[in-house]
Amino acid sequence: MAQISRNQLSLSLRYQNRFRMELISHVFILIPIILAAWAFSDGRGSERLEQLTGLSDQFTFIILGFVAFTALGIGNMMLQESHIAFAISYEMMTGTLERMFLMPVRRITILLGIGNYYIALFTFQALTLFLGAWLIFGFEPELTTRGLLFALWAVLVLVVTNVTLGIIGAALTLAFKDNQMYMLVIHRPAALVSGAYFFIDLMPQPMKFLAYINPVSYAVDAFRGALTGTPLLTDSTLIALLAASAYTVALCLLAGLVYRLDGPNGTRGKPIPFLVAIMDIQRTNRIRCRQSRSLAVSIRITLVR
Amino acid sequence: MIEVKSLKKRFRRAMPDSAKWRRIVSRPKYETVEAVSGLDLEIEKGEFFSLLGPNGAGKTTTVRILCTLLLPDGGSCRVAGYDVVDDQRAVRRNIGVSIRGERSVYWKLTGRQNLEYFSNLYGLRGKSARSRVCEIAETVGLSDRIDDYVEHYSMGMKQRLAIGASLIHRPPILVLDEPTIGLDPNGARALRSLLKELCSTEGVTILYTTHYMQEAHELSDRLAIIHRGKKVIEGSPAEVCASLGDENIVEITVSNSDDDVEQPLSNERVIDKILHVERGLLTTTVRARTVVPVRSVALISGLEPLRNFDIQSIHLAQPSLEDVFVSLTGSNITEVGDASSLE
Amino acid sequence: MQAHSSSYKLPETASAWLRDAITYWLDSLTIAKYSIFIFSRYRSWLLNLMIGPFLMIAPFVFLGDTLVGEGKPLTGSYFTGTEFTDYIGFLVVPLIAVNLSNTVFTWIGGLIRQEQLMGTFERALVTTQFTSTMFIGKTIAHLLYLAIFAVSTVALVFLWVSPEFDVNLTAAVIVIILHVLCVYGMAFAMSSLLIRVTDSWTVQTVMTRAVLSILAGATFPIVIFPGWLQAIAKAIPFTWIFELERQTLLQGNGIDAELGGFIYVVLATIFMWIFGFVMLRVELANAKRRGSLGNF
Repeated sequence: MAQISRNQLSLSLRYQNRFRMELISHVFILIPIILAAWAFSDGRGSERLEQLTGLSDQFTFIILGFVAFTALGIGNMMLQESHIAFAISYEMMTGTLERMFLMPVRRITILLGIGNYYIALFTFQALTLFLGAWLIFGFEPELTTRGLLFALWAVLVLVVTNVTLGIIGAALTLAFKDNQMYMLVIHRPAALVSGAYFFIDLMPQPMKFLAYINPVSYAVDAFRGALTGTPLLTDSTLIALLAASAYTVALCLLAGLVYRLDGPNGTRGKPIPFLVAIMDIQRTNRIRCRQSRSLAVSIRITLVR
Repeated sequence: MIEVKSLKKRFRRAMPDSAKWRRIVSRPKYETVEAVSGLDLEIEKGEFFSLLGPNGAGKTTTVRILCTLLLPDGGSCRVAGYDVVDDQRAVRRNIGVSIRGERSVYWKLTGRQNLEYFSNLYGLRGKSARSRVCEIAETVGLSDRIDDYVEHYSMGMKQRLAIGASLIHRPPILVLDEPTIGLDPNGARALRSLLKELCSTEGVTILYTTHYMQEAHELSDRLAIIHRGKKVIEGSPAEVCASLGDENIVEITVSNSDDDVEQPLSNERVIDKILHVERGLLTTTVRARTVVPVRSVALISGLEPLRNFDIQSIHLAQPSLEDVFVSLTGSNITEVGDASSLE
Repeated sequence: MQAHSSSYKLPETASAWLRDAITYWLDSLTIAKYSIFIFSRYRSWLLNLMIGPFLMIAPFVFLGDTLVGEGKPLTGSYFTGTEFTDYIGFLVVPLIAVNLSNTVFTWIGGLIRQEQLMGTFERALVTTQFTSTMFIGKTIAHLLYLAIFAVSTVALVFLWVSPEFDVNLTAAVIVIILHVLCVYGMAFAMSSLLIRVTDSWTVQTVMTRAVLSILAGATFPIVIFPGWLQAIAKAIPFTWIFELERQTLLQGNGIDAELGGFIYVVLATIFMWIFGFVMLRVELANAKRRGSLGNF
C-alpha cells in the first residue's frame, strides 16, 4: 500500500502546476463565498444569521463548515482529478488500471494506496485553512478539551466518509465509464444539501428532507457544533457525531459490499456487478499466479530428479 | 515516391530529480538524445519497403516525420513529390497512415462510424462513402462486427479497423508502424497477404516498420536495418542476408550441463562471433558465425570446447536477417534499449 | 492509384480558395456530427444539463436567503448606487454565465487533451486538411448542448427562483451572443496552450474559479476589492460581460449603459479568436519540433 501511495505521490509531482494548485485550491472555492457573504452582510455580523443559528459571525459559520468540507475532500477545486474516484478513472483512461488490478495484491489495498495520498492532501488543506483563518484572520472558535476531542472525532468521520464515498464514486466511474457521474450523483448533491455555508431549514421541503438524511450534513454539523457549541441539526454535538459515525459505518459496509458481490457475465452498464467483474480479473490472476508458481516448482522437481 | 536525405532528429529527455520534494519547486533537467542521425532512404513507386530495427532505433521517429507529425532538425524528406515541411497538406492527402494501432480509432463509435468519419474527412460522401466502408470492412474481415462499438472489439479487431481507416481513401502510399503488434497469427497472416496484394495488384507503395525480422523477410522487396538512428544496411532481403556469406553460419545444440557452452566456443579461432544463444529446459542452442565457410559438420564437432558437452545436433544454416543485425550492430535485437523517450 | 482528394468537385474555374473554404466547412460539419455521436455515449450529459445549473446557483441563493432574508432587498453599502436590490437576480444571471463558460472550457478548452488521452489526436492530425476544423467542428457540436442548456436553465429560473427581470431584449441577445463568442475564443486559446502545458485541469480550473468566480465578481460587486484589484478585475472581459448581462436582463438598460465595457469585450473577443488560432499553429509546430504531440 505504501508503494502505491508513493507512486501516486510521484505521479502528482510529475504535474507540478497541478500539485501546487492542489495545496491551495480550496481557498479559491472559499473566497467567492466569503466575499458574497461579506457583500450581503455589509462586512458586519449578520443579525439574521444570529436569529436563525445563534451565531452572529457569518465567517465562523462559513469557515468551520468549509473546513469540514475540505476534510471530506469536497471543498477541493481540483476535484475533477484530485480524488480517489478520479484517480481511478484517470488510470482507466490511460490504460494502466487493468495492469494495477493484475498485481498480486488485494484490490482494496490498491484503492487505499491511492486514497492515502488524497487523505493526506485533504487533511493538509483542512488544517491549513483552519490555522490560516485562526492565526491570520482572527477567527475564534470555542476551544475546549471536549470540543477539540469532538472536532477530532468529526474529522476522523469525515476522512473515512471521504474514502468510502471515493470507493463508491469509483464504482460509478467504472460502471458508466463516465467520470462526471460521481460528481453529479454523489459529490455535488451531497455538498449542496449539507448546509456547510447556509441554514438548512431555509431550503425547500424535499431538499430539507435530503439534508436530514445526508451523512455529510451530520458530519459537517458535528464539526461546527464541536467548535461553536451550537449544532443545528440535532440537540447536541454528541448526537450529531453519533449519527455521522453511524452513517459512516453504513457507508463503509456499502462500499465493502460493492467489492464483495459477485456479478454474472454481461454486466456492462450495471454499476456494481460490472465493477466486481473487473475486480474478479485480479482474483483470477492471483489463482493463476499460484498455479504457475506450483507448475514452476513441479518442473524444477522433475528436472532435479 | 519517398525520398529521405540526411534526415536528423534530436529530442530533449527530462531527467527526473532524485529528491521528490525538489520537483515541486524546480524545473527538470534535460539531456539531448539523437533519435535519427543522417538517414538516407529512397523508396520507389509500388515498392514494399521495410524499416527494421529494435525499439528506439529511430523507425517510428522516421515514420512520424514522413507523416508530418514531427518536424526534422536536418535533412529533407519528400513524399509523393511533396516536401513534408512545406507541403504538409499535400503529403497528408497522399498517404494512408496507421500509427498508435488500436488507440488511433474512436472507441466510443462503431466500426462503421469510424470508417465513415475518416472517409468523410478524405472527401468521400454519400453512396460512394458507404460502399467504400463496406468494401474496407470486408477487406479487413470486420463485416460481421462493423456495427458494434469499437470498445467491445478485441485488440486485433481494433488494429484491423485502424488499418482499414488508413486504406479508406485509396492512398498511393501506405505508412504502417508495427501494424501486426497485437494480432493473432491468423490475423497477422491475413494482414500480410492483404498488404502484399495491395502492393502487387494496385501498385501501392508501402513503408512498413517492424522488429519482427521474419515478417520483413517475407514481405519486403527491399529493407533497411537501422540502429541508433543510423542505417546499417539496405537491400533486398536476399542481398542483406548474403552480406554474411552463404556458408558461414552454424547452429549447435547441446544438452544442458553445469558449464556454459558459448564462452569457450567464442574463444575458438574458427568461430568469428556468437550470434544467438537460446537456453531451453533441457538443451542450449548456439548460433554462430564462422571465419571461413564451413562445408562439413565434422570441423565443428571436433572443436575442443565441445568435447565436454553432449552434442545433440549441428546444422549448417542459412544466414537470417537477425544474424545480419547482430553481426552489424553487435547486439541482439531484443537487448537494445529504448533511446527515443521524449521530454 | 489516385487518392481521393478532400477538395470538392467544383468547376475548374472555381478558385483554390473557394475549394478550401468548402472543404473546411464540410470537414467541420463531419467532425461536429461524429462528436455528437461520441458525446451521446456519455450518459452524464443529460443529467448535467438537468441539474448542473441548479447545483451551481442553489448554494449562493441559499447563502443570500440566510444572510439577507428571503424576499428582502439588498441594502448593504456595496450595492449603493448599483440599483440592484434583488439578490437572486444579482446572483443567478452571472452564475448561469459561469456555468455556461465552464462547459465551454471543459469541452473546447480541454479538447486537444481529451484527444491525446484517447490516443486519437495524432490520427486526427494526419487526416484533417485544416487542423482548426477540430475546433470549429467541436464547437458546432457544443452549440447543440448550449441550446439544451439554455432551455433547461430558463425553465429552472422561472420555475424555482423567479428573479425580478426587466429585459431589454435586443441588447440582451447581443450581449449573450458576444459572451458565447468570447468564451469560445478563450477556450480555443486555452486548448492551444494545453499542447504545451501538461496539467490541463489546473489551467481550466484557474480560469473558472479564480478568473470567473473571483476576479470577475460573479457573486459580489467588485467594489468590494481594493483599488488595485478592481483595476485587474476590470481588465477581465468577463467582468464586463457579467455587468452587461445584469444591466440588460435585470435593469432593462441598453448596451449604452456600459458602452466602454461592450467595446472592450468586442475587441477582446476578436483578439481571443485570432490568438487561439495563431497559438494552435505555433504550439503545434513547437510540439512537432519537440516530439511531444502525443504526450500529456
